[in-house]
Amino acid sequence: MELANIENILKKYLEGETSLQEEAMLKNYFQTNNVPSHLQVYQQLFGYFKTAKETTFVRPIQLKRKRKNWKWASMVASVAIMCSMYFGNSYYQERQLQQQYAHVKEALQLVSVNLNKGDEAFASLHTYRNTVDAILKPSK
Amino acid sequence: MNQSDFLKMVLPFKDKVFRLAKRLLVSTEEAEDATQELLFKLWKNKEKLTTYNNVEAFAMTMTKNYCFDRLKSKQASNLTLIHSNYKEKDTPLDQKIEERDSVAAVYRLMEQLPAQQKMILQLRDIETYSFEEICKMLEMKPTAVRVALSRARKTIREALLKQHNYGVSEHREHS
Repeated sequence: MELANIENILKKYLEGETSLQEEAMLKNYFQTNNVPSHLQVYQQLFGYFKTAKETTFVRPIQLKRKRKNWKWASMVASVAIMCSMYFGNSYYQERQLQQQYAHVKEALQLVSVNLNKGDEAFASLHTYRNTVDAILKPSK
Repeated sequence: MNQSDFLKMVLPFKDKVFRLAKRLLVSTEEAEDATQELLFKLWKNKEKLTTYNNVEAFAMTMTKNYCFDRLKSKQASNLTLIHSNYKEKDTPLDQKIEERDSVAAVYRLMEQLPAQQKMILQLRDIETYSFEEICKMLEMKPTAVRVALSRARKTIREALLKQHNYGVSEHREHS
């Protein structure tokens, strides 16, 4: 095809006024190698259009839903979180009680140790009294 | 309609759906997901399909809408990194010159077009649909399609010319 004609069609092409047939002509023309240098951008352009059409969808087509059902998953997850909060909280309270019990026990133990000390003191008081009694009422 | 009838019906345009999705979503994986989703939706509505006179145009419209929704939700969740901007910055100079004549440069330029021009260029110059079909697919008026198409073609041509001249002057400086 003569160059003038091609340039004419290209002008129309840029205005969006070419028919599909004319565009096919352009594509054919720019596939050939002897394109003048001032039109080489078009060779690049139409070359890209051609290669871009070679991309295909290669994944096998699935017509049954295999995707995970997120609605269900989120419901299950929220129930799990609520359960764990409930049980976690009761466990926490139990632990809290155990700790309090341990504290009280420790305190009571401290008290009892000191009480025992007092008892020992009383015990010595007892021997003291016996001796005093022995001295004061020796004869009978 | 049974499964093999359905597959026979979608076979001629499944690649076109995929290419349009890839044009809009960029990522191959996301485009594959979109295509899968679309085919699934068509299969679910297979009884209704027989009443449409142009299932292919209908499928392309659905693809467009689905991709727009995907893009919107991505933007909303703020997960988009504008991929082309990063590419542009990272591309070293010698690679730029190398790409000067390659078709990859056209791909990059197309990526930077507004979504509507991208789609129209895709549908017309790559898939070679008629104006009538494009109008139906994109729910647009013929004049609007023509104007957008012309703008897209001119933008890309000018950018390519710029790259060419840039490359030429680079070569001269070096020699």
